[in-house]
Amino acid sequence: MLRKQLPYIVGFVLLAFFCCYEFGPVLRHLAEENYVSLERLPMAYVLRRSLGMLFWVGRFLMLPLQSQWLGGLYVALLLTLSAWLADKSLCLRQQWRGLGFVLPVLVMGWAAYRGYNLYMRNEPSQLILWIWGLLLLTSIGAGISALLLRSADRKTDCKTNCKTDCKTDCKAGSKEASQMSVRPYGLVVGLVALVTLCGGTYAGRQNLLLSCEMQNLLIDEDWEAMNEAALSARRPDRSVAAFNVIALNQMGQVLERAFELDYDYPTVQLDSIGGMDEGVNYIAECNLHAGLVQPAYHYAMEQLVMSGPRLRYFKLMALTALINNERALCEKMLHVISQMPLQSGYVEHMRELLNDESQRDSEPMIARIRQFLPQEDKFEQNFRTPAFLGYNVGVLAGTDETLNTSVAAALYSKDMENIILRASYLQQKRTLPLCVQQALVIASFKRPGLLDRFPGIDKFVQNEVQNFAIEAAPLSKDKSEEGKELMRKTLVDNWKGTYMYYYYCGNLNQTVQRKTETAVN
Amino acid sequence: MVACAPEARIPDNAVAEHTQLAIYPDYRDIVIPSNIAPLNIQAKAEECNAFVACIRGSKGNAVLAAAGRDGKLLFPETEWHELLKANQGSDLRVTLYSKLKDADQWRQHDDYTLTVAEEIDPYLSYRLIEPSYELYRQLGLYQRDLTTFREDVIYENNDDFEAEHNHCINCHNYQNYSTQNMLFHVRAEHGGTVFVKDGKADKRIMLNDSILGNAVYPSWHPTQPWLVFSSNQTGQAFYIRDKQKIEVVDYGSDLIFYDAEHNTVSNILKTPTEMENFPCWAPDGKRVYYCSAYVAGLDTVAVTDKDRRSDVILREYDKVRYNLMSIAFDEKTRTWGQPQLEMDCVRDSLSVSVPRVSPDGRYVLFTLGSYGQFHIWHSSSDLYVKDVQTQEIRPLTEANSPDVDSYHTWSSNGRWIVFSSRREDGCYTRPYIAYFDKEGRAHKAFVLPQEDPEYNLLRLKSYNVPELTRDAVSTTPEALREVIYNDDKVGRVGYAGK
Repeated sequence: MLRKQLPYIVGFVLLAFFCCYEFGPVLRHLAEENYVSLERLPMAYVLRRSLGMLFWVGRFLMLPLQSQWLGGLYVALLLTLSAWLADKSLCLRQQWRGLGFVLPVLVMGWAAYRGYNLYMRNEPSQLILWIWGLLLLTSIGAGISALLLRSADRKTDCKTNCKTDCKTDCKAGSKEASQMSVRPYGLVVGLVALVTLCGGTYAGRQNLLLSCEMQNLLIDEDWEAMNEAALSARRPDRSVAAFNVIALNQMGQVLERAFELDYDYPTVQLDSIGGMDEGVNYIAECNLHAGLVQPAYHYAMEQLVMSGPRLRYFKLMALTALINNERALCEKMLHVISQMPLQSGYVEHMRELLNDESQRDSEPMIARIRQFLPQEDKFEQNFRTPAFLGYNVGVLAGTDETLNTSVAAALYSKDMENIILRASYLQQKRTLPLCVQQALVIASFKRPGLLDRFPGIDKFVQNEVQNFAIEAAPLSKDKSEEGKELMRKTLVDNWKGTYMYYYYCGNLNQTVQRKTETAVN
Repeated sequence: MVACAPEARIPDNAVAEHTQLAIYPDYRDIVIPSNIAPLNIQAKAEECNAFVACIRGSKGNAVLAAAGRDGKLLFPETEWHELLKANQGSDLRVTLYSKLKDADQWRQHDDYTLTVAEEIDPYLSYRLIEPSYELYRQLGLYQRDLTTFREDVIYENNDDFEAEHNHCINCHNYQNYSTQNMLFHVRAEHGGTVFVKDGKADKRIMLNDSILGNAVYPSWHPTQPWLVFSSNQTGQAFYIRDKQKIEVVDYGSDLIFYDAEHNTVSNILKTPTEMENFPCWAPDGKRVYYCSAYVAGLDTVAVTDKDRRSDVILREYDKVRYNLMSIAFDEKTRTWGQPQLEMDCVRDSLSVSVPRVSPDGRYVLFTLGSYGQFHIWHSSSDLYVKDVQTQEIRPLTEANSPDVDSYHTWSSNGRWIVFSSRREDGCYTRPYIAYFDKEGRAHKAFVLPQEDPEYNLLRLKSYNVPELTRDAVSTTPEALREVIYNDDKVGRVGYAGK
C-alpha cells in the first residue's frame, strides 16, 4: 500500500518544501495583497470586474495563506491531490504514477514565471484559482475515467483484460509492484519536474522570494532578519534594497550599512496596467518609515484605487491614521479590516493602541517612525519623487534622525553638494560615519581644501580612497557599458561595501526623477 | 450583512433608565422629510444582546424594529412611510429598549424625536469615487431614490483597466431640478462634455482658443439653453503632514457663457489678475453669483506657462482668498453688467466657495473657509447663508460640523439642503440632509439613510457633488456609453464673442 502511494508521498513532501519553505514567503505575502469580506460594499471594486464573482470566491480560497506553514501545506495538498487525480484520469500503470505532478509543477512554474506580476497591479487570487481550477479539472477527468472504467468492467471480465492499462489500476497485484520497484518512471519524471521547479525558482526569482520574505518580516518587525535576507541576494532589485533600508533605518544603522548591498538593479518585467514601475511594491512602506505619514497614506490610497481592496494597504492606512492621531479614520479602516476573516487579532491590537496613547507611544516601530516626522509644512510637490527619497534629499529643517536619513539619501543620489552641506551639520552631532568620510574624500578631488572643513576625517580613509582610485583609474577610461561592467566586476571583491565602489560602480542607471504632474479628479 | 432579527415587540416590564443608548448614525432630534426612506440605526452597547425600537406619532400605528447582538434596527418600509405621511408637520417619538446579556431584564432608554416636515425631491444624484489623489479607476454617477434605498447607475466608466478607455467623469449638473436637461464632463480618454436634452445625449468638446481652458464648473440658466461655466486651470498638491491631505488650487479661472443650442461660447469675465469661479445662476435668470480672488503678479506670467502660474499660487496658496460676487444678466440682449461685491470675505480673512441660490431667490448658500476655493478638502469650511433681502450673513451653525462641510444643493421647494461632509471620519465625504425652515434657519443635519446602518462605514468611496432632482435620469448607462465612446462626431465649440 505504502509502495503504491510512494510517488504521492514523495511528491507531497517536495511540494510542501516548495510551498512552505521556498515559495512560502510569496504565498504568505499574497495573503497580505488579498482582502475579502462577505460584505459586498468593500468588495465593490472586485465585483465590478469582468470575473468579479470568481475573484471574490478566489479571495476566500486564499484565506489559509495567512499562515505560511498552513498555507503551504494547503497548497501542497491541493496540488498533490491534483497530481493523483491526473494519474487517475489517465489510468496510468503503476510504474507511471507520479507523472501527474507535471501539471502542478506547470502551475507553480507559471506562478514563479509571473514573479511580481502575481500580485502587483494584478488580481492576487489568480494563482489560487489556477490551483483550484487544476484540481477541478483533474477531478472531472478522474470522474470520467472512473465512469468509463466501470462501464468497461461491466462489459468484459477483468481477467480477460489483463493486458490493458486499466486492469492495473483496478486490481493492482504483486506483478505491478515488482514492475514499479524496477522502473518507477512516473516518480522519476515527477521528481525531476519538482526539483526543476525548486531550482528554477531559486535561480530565476530570488528577488521575488526575498522581497516577499522581507515584507513578511516587516510585519513581524524582525529588522535583523530583513537585513540578512537582503544581504543574501545575488543581485538585489529595488524592492529588496528598499526593504533593507527600512530595516536599517529601524535599527538606526542606515549610514553605517546602507552600502553593503551591491546596487546594480536588474530590470523587472512588469505588466503595464496603469503604470509599470516597481515602486508599487515598496514606496508606501518607505514613505511611512521615513516619517512621511501622509505621503504613505496617499500612496496606499492610490494603490487601493488602482488595484482594489488589499489588506496590506488597509493596514498601512490604519497605521498612518493611528500615528497621525486621526482616530475616526483609523477606526474606519479597522472596521473594514475586521470584516475579513482571521484578522481579529490585528484589529484588537490596533484598537488597544488607538485607545491607549501611552501604549501607542511605546510601540517601538511607531516610536521610531515618529522620530522622523517632518517639521516643515510642505507639499510632496516641493520634492522629487519618490517622496521618501526626494524629501530626504531636499529637506531643510528636520529632526536629528532625519539628518541621518537625509545624508543617506544624498549619498544614494550621489549628490555631492548636498552631502557636503549635510555632513557639515552631521559632524556637529556625531563622528562622521565611514561612508560619509569616503564621500567627502571623493568630493575633495574636485574641491581642494574641502577636507579642511572636516578635520575628523581619518587619514586611513584618505589613503583607502586613494588606493581605490589607483586601482580604478585604468578601468574608468572605458566609458562604454562593457567598460563599466568590467570595472564593476574587477573591483567588486575588494571594494564592495565602500562608498567609493558605490559612487563609481553602483546604481549607474538611476531613473530620472521628475516633478509630478497632477490632475484633479 | 444583516443578521436575522428577533421578533419586534415592546418588551414587558422594561425598566426606565434615564440614559441614552448609543446609536449610529446619529438620528437624534432631527427634522426629516415626510417621504424619506426609513432611518435605520445600529444600537451600540456591547453589554446587550437584544434591542427594540418603537416609533410613535400622534396619528397612525407605531412602527417597531428589533435587533439581536448586532444592534441593527431596520424599520419596515411600508409602515414607516404610512406613519410619516400621517404625522407630517408633527413629531414622532422614538423609544429604544435594550436587554442586558447577563440578565433577563429590558431597559428603556430616553426617547428622542423626529420632526416630520415637507417632502424632499425624491432623487439625489452623486458621483462615487475614492477620496483619491491623482489616480482614478472605477467611478460612476449614481442616483438614489430618497424614498427607498434604491441606487441606480447613471453612468459608470470602464470596469476593467483599459488604457485606451480610461476616463474620469465629473461635474454632473441639471437644469432647474429636472433631468431632462443635464450635463457631465468626461476627462482623459473619450474626453468631452456630455449633454442630455430630453433624454437624448451628445458629446461636445468645450475648448476654444479664445477661452482660458476647459469648461469646468457649470450652472444652467433656469429656463433657457444657456450655461455659465468657469474655465479653470487647476492643479493640486499633497501635504506631507497636514491632516487635510490635499490642496486643490486654481492658477487661472474665468467665467464663460455657453449657448447650448448654437454650440457657441463667449467670455464673460476674462481678467488677468482675478480668478472667477463657481458660477450660479439666480432662479430668475437675471443674475449670476460667483467667487472671485485677486492674485497680484498673476498677470506677469503667461497663461500658457502653467508651471510658473502654479508655482505663484502654491507659494501663497493660504493667502488666496475669494470674495462673493454677482453680475447682472440681461436676457434680452444677452449682455452682462458690472461685477458687484456681495460679501467682502477677504476683509474678514475668509474665502468663499460654491454659492447656490435658493429656489425663491432669497438666500445664497455658500461655504466659507480660511483660504482657497476647494473647500471640500478644508476642515475649516462651514456653510453660511446670505439673506438677499436683509443682507444678513450667518453661519448654519446647527448644520455645520468641526470638519469639512461643503458642496451643497437646495431642494426645489427650498426647505432642504443636501451637502457633503467629512464629519464622520475626516476623509470619506457623505451626503448630509438638513432642514432649512421658513425663517431661514438650518436644523441639525443627518446622513443619507441606508438600509444597512453600517453602510457608510463599509463604503470605500466618497460622495461627490450631491444634486437633488424631481425626476430620475431616464437615459440609460448604455446610451451614455455609446455617446462617450464615439469620438468621431465630436467637434469643438465655436466662439461667439468679439
